[in-house]
Amino acid sequence: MLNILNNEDITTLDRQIEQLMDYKPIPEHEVKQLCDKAKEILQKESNVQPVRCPVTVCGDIHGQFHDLMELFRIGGRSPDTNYLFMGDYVDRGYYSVETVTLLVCLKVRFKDRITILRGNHESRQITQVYGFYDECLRKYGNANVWKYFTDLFDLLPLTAVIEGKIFCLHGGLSPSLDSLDQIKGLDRVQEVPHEGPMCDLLWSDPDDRCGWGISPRGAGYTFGQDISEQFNHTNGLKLVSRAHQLVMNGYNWSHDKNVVTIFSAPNYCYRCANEAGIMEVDENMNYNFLVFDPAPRRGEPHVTRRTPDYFL
Amino acid sequence: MVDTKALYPIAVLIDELKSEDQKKRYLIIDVMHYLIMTLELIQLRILARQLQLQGKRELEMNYFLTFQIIDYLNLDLMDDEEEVLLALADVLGNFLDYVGGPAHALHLVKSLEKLCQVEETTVRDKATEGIKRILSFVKIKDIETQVVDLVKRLMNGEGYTAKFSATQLIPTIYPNVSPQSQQDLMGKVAAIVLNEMIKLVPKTPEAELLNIFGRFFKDEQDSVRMQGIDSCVVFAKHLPVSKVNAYLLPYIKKFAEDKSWRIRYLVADRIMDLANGIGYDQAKEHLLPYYQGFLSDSESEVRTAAVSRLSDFCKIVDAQSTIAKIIPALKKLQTDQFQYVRSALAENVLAICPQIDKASTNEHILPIFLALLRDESSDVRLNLFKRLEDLNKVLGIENLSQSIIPALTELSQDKNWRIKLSVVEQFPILAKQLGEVFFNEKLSPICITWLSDNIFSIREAALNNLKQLTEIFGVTWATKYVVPQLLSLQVNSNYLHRLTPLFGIAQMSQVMPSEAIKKLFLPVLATLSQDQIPNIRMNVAKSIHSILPYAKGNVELEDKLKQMLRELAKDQDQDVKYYSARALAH
Repeated sequence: MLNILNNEDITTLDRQIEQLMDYKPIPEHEVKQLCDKAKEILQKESNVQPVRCPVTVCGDIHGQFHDLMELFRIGGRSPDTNYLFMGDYVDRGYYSVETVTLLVCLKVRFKDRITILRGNHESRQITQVYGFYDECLRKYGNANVWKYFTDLFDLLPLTAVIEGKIFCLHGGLSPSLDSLDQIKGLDRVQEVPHEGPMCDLLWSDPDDRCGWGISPRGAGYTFGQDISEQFNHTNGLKLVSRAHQLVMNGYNWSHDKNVVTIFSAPNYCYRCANEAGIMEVDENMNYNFLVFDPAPRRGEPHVTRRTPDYFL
Repeated sequence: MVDTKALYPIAVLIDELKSEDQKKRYLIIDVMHYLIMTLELIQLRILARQLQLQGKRELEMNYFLTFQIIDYLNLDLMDDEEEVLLALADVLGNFLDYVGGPAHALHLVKSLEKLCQVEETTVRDKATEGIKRILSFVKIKDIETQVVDLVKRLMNGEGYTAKFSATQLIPTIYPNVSPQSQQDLMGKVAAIVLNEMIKLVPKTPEAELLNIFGRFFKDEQDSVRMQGIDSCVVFAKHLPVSKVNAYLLPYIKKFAEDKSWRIRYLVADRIMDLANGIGYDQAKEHLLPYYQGFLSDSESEVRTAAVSRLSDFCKIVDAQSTIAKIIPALKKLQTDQFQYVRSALAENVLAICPQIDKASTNEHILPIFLALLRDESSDVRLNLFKRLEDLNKVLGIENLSQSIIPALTELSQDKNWRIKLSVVEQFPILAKQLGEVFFNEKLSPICITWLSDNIFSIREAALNNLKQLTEIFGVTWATKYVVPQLLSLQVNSNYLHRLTPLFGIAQMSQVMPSEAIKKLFLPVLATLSQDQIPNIRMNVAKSIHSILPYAKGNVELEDKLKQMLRELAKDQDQDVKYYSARALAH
């Protein structure tokens, strides 16, 4: 395959990655160039992007950049460790800009070492409500960066499959989709629709009840163990790996180990007190889960009761 | 009449300042210095001619324009966002040169006065800072009336914001005005400036200050009394010793007995500052009983503050008093119900070992150490190891290995990886203290276990340790006790663990001779350069990249490394290719 990066691109990307790791966003015009490059790469990827093992699978990040840095401290640095992120990079946390910029930089710089999928928050409508839009406005003084990224989000793959065995996606299954081939046939390059198969993949949740159910979220469906088993069987899969739901211990098995939920934002929204999790899949397709707590924040004291209340 | 071209930059400036876009307004203020300078050079000359002001000095024209801009800013920007105001306050404070120097200082001060009254503290601070800077360039006596009036206006202003700014300005102005004005200002002095004023002793009548100080102490609000403690510290520095004893000591004692724990906390926290102020002899006699009390205070914050000052405070009292008065209180703290009190104790208690003799350390400190070593909180146990050296100096750790090793082993497997990391980072220091034999026997195995930890940062820190330990114990030691274990990871079935020897080789090559690199590391690199996982091959290339400088002079090694890179540069994987080519290019 032709390499679309020249040496100058690589130098620029390496510098941008370093700068972002230091918590500094990159300038607006650089974001534009970055997104243009990312589009070239992502449009070549499939709706069901094949991924080789070994790879470390991660769930929601939601702008918790400190904790993304912690994730790399736990799982190893990119590109030394391969990563697959299952969406929801932006909104809620205070550092959506840094988070999504870094992940896209890494994708462009090391496209074979990292896979980034689309989550339900990678959408124009959702980001206007849950923080990413406002953060772009605050950090860049205009909405251009938000526009570059949300345009790019339209090209993110919806799902990935590791060695044909582990099916990874943000939300869950859809009553309109029985096979991976049907997913491959979807036209994904659009804003996340309010309903239909593409919406379901990004919005659905597993449930204890059998069959399909109405989702309390108002989008997607709930699906039972029978559905997961059937889907895995039909497609020769071992496991559905997904994110989208807060789980207190970082990861959570359901449907008799047909489905696993992975959530990688510790102390979600800075208040949920949950642990974060990642799933390391090695070259023999063995998997191992690591869980971790929030990173100590810069400038915050280690001992919480140290400061007497006369400052309040 | 006026050439529009010449006024264009001003028009742009004004336009930008009117912009809806906050960012633009912010930027324009930021670059104003430069804009003004540009005007001076080019447009100003044209403008001056057009206005038929050739007779006037061009620079003055420049000032005129500056004032136009500043007036504009004053009128239109006062309700703006904090960031813009902050930038404005900053610029104005540094603007004296651009408005024609000290003669025009008041104009700037007037502008800044408005900023002294806004809600945001940061803006006010910048503004008062600016006024102080401007006043430092002028003779305050020349503009005494205006300046004193300014302070009075601020003092009488609505709300606390203006008053607060006034108090900040007084210490700058007070020493430079006539006695009449001084008295005028003195009447207005708020509690908050007292500390600054005390520094002016003997210029200020101390009776007056002590009078105000007395008012503090009697105040109902403990937040006001708290200011008094700071004042004590400052006072003590500026009063002669005789007066300290007569005036201050009674106050300090009252504060130490205050019914509010926040006051007692502050006294405990500032105890060394107070001791420095009143002199160590006085402190030993008068503060020790209170310090003793703080250690067993009913409020845990006070106990923590006191125990945090332990090592410094014990230095000013003799060993006998430490043993008789302080240590009994410490014994009670070892079972304190609050973990952070015990943490503070663990962090500080060993520091007093060098100040008392060996027998006393054995008798008094060792039992506390052993008790804390079994504490349920890993944080408490960890803190003990931070000052282990102090205990070691007095007793020698060999005698303690029976108790230390189990505690260390347990901490080295703590479920909180950051605790584990702190232990990893302690190891080189422990190695130095314990010596090679002891280390090999008890601690090397722990170091090796960390190399296979499932948290990346622990593996990384463990590798860093190997390098440091090699520097301490030497290459022969490393070759025998750690390198084989490190290299054996090359056959691990998980690529993340096969990366470890590669990262390790890069680190260890900095401290190993090139022959050892060739003999020990080269075969491993050769094997892993054939690995089926591209991440491993990529890191072989990265590893070689960092080894190459250390292979200089060893022709055979250098050749073999480069040959390996040339092979890797033909790899299918683009990242492997890139890092190999990059290493070859150097």
